[in-house]
Amino acid sequence: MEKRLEKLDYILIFCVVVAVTCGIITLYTQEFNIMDGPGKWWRQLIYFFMGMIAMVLMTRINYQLLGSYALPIYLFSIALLVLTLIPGIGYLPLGRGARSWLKLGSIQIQTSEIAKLATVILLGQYLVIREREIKNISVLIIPFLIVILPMVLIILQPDFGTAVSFLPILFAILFLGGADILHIGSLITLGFISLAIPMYVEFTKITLTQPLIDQLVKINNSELVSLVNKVQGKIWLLLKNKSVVIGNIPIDPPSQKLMHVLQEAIDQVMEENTNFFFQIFMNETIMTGFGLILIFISLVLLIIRFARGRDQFRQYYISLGVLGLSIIFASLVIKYIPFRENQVIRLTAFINPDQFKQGAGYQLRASKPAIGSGRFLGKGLTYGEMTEGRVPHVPESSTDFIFASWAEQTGFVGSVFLVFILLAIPLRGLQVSFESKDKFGSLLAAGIVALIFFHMFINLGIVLGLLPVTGLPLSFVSYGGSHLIMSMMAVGIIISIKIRKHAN
Amino acid sequence: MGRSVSSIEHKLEKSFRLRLYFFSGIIVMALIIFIFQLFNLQIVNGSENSRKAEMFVRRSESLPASRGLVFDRNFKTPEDSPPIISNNQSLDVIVNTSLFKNNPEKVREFIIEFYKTLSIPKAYYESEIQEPKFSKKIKSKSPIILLQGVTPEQHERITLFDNIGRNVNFIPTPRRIYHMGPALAHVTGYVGLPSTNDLKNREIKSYQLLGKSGLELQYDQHLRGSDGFRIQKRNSDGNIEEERIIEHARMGNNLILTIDKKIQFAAYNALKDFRGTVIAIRPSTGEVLALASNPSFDPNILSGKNKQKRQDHFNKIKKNKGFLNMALQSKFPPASTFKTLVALAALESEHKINYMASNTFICNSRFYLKSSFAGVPDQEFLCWDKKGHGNNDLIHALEKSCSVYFYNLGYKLGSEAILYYSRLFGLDKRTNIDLPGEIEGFVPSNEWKKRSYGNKWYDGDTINLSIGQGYITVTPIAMTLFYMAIANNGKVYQPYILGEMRNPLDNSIVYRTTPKVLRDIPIKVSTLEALNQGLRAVAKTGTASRLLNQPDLPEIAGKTGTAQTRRRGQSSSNHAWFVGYAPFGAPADEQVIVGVFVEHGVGGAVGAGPIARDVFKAAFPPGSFVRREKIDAGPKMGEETPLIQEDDTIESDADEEVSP
Repeated sequence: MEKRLEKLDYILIFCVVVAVTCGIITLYTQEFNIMDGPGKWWRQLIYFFMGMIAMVLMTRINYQLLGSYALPIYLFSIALLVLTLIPGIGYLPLGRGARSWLKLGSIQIQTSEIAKLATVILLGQYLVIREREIKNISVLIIPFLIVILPMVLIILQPDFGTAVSFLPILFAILFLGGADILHIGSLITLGFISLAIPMYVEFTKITLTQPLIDQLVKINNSELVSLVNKVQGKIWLLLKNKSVVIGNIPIDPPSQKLMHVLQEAIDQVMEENTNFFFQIFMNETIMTGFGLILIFISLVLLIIRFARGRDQFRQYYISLGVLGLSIIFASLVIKYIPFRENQVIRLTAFINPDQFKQGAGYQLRASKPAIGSGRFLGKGLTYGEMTEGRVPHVPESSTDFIFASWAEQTGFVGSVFLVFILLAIPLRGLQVSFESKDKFGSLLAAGIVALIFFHMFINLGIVLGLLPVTGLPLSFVSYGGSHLIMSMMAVGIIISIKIRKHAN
Repeated sequence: MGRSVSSIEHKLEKSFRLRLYFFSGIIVMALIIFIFQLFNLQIVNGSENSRKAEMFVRRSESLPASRGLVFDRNFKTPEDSPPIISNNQSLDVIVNTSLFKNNPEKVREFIIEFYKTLSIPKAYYESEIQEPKFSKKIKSKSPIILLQGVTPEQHERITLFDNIGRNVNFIPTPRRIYHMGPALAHVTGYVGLPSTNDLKNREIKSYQLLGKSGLELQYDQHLRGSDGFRIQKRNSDGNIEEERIIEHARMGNNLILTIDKKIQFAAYNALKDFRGTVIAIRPSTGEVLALASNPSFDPNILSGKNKQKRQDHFNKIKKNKGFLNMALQSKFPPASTFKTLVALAALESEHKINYMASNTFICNSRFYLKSSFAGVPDQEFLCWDKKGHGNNDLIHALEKSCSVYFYNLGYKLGSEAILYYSRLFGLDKRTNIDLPGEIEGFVPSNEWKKRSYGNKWYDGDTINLSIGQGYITVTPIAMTLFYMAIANNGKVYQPYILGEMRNPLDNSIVYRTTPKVLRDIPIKVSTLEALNQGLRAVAKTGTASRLLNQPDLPEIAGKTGTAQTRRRGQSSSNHAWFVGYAPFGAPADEQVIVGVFVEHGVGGAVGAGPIARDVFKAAFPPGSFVRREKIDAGPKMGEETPLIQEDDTIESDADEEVSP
């Protein structure tokens, strides 16, 4: 029997096209005054056509097929990620700090984009297969691992922002997949504490740079003073005996003797300037010990529960166990994973951008006034002084901060319009998820919605000054072929799901 | 699919739907939050954000212009000629108060931390952070100067401490150097930072230098030039990526003065510890070759970076009246230098009063004025030489400075004519020299006397007037200008100090002063001849001859004067005058007029003579002139001494010294 196909979701397609058009218009206006030949807008237009082709392709494919091949697709994307990490094959563009691309001739592919989509598909598939046991905590381990693997590979690029963006997507999919809320909560806590504590530690260490200089001045060690002054926050890397690069000049860790003096000074400074918590966090033994104690208690409770046979203490042993685990995790992260100074600053700068005049704080200090100066009707197309030109006042105005550019030029009216259009896309997607008769379809659609939504949410949050800067593009609008094509493919999948609504 | 499965499916489906709803709720929430934030940024805070954005785009930095240099008349090129005033580049440290959101408490906190970091004691800045003026200063949003002229060690320290370093700016500021120091201070003036009034009234930034007195003030606009302007675009780290110079700094123009360094130094040094002034002018053009005044001040200290030093110096000088430019800003009775004018007035009126230069009067050291009232004794006026001068014509009367001759002459002439000529020669007017703060002299009149004293002009007043005493007071420069008329056939040129203004880059002339005739008085040839002869006699054989008739000096013509002061019992308190010109008989463009006034200089010859001699020596170094007359061993005149009087219009002095 011929399966009857539903109509395409024209509203969804319309929103996507409008969003991309806004992006292209914005890119055009930014380069309006630069006479360098066809610029980003032109390239984005080409990517758009490529994306259209990809989208149409995906609508023709039965999404069920994607489900069957979920694992190979995922493994393929992992392989790509591994390749990207290898210097020589992976491409590290000048000026950007991360090796995130694979170069094939003149085409650059950002492999993390492929990984995101592949992960969502695999997660969807897994949750459908294990749908019955979804309430069982053990079932959640695999999704966690499915996500951790690409995350780690991406962190190593290093692209902290993109890596972290996997987590909300994971939680959304788990949530929609029906996982126990307590479990999800625990995972969120685990992730948060494991990351927040090391964040806090790193941040404190960076604020210690200044008192450290003061201390070194006090003991009159001018060599160390000028060293610390030069490398600033990276002194902590030097302490771990790693070399550092400042402005293209490599700097080696200091000699043994100096290290000793430095360490002494650091101890002194830490004692004077840090609070109780910091000192605890830095202390591996205490942390691990404490974590183990919590896990121990949790295990005890677990045993008692099983012994009694009754379903009690559940919240206690789960929460305690999770807490304990996260503390141990945190300690491990502090010890083994070096956070790059600017990543840390970026994250914390959003709380107080004025404190970080240069660097991350600058982006935010520029972005909000740029948006605000659009006022009601905007400054008019090509009149966006803050965001146009070769060196715009708002950095990344063609990529991460492109919304600021649109907002500056089209004002409140244009901004609200674009936000509506953008958020209509995940909403339409949810509609499809709702109506799909098949669980995989629903989950897949929902997962893709989560993917798209969180990108938008995080990006707009950053640009509007509500979230810390992490470097995520705005789907459909930001300049960037890989993300645009992936996003359009994702929409293609949603449409594919929609039109096969009755075809099951 | 069995029932059980479908029921699970159904349950799952229900909870799934719930979760879908929940998720869509989150999306809608996000929509609302974003619209709210957009509203916040664009509507509520729209104008403030527009302003902030504007600051970003227009973030500009001024390129400070350097102040023009000043040279003396012997200038050739800026590279070769040593300047009188030059600049020395130094860095000032200013804090931008807007970084602290203009919160006085936060700024104060920062300032204290700043000085602590540099180990600068509290006393240095304590007064600056006092309320209420501190808050006012913050509110005015002007950057606060923390240090003027930072040393290399301080500079390093500031940049080392990032918490300090990133909140301050280093502004390159030139410091003025006055190479002639106090010797030319009244002419150069000094510079300083603008006061609150200045900031209000002028187009000037709080850290720019402003002329406060003298030429620095007079030509401030030209010296200052204008600051340039550049726009910087910064990248994501806030570092400068692109820079466009919108307007280049226009450096201030260089000034070439008419002053001759050598003569100026000679003039100033000659004054030594005496309060007084020396003026040297070229009669053919009005160029001021030297203008010195003592007591003076050190413009280097007043323009310097040390605030304490500046204050101390300022107070010290102010107490001592050292800011007074005595040439322009003080007036004194002209005394015997006025006799020349009386003579001129008489000669010009010769038909009216039937008088000639050859007319003689006998001096036996006394002159009696008949009293018009019965019972009131005759007024007695004395000559300075107790022995009397005998019978003298005008030339000899000038030579010996015989007061009795001039009492007679003045009485014969009448005050009207004398006062008329005083005004004609501008003794009560400003010369409009290009320095700020000049005052007018005072020439009395009948009306004035009636108004001020309630009684009319007496004959006795005329008598006093005839020897330049009484109510008349003149500024040294005005008196000097009178003698310019004598030397220059009645033509008086406007005195000026700025010779040329030149472009600092290519040395091209931007402006050149053309000599301007201030007044052109028609004087009879015979009058001029008689006067010149008389004045030559003064220096050759007369009251000034001892000091000024020297083989190493050109022939000088001039007049001494000794002005009474109203101080009892102190002969040394008399003021000394000498105004003269040389070389006698030379064309005007080779001549130099020198006017000297010394407060409490004892006597015209003793006090002012040596100074005049030094100045003429400097103006006419050996080889620059040829003496036409030989020095003859004729009789040398005695010093013109203070007068003894017993009536109460003139103070009597206890002892008078007559020099041999």
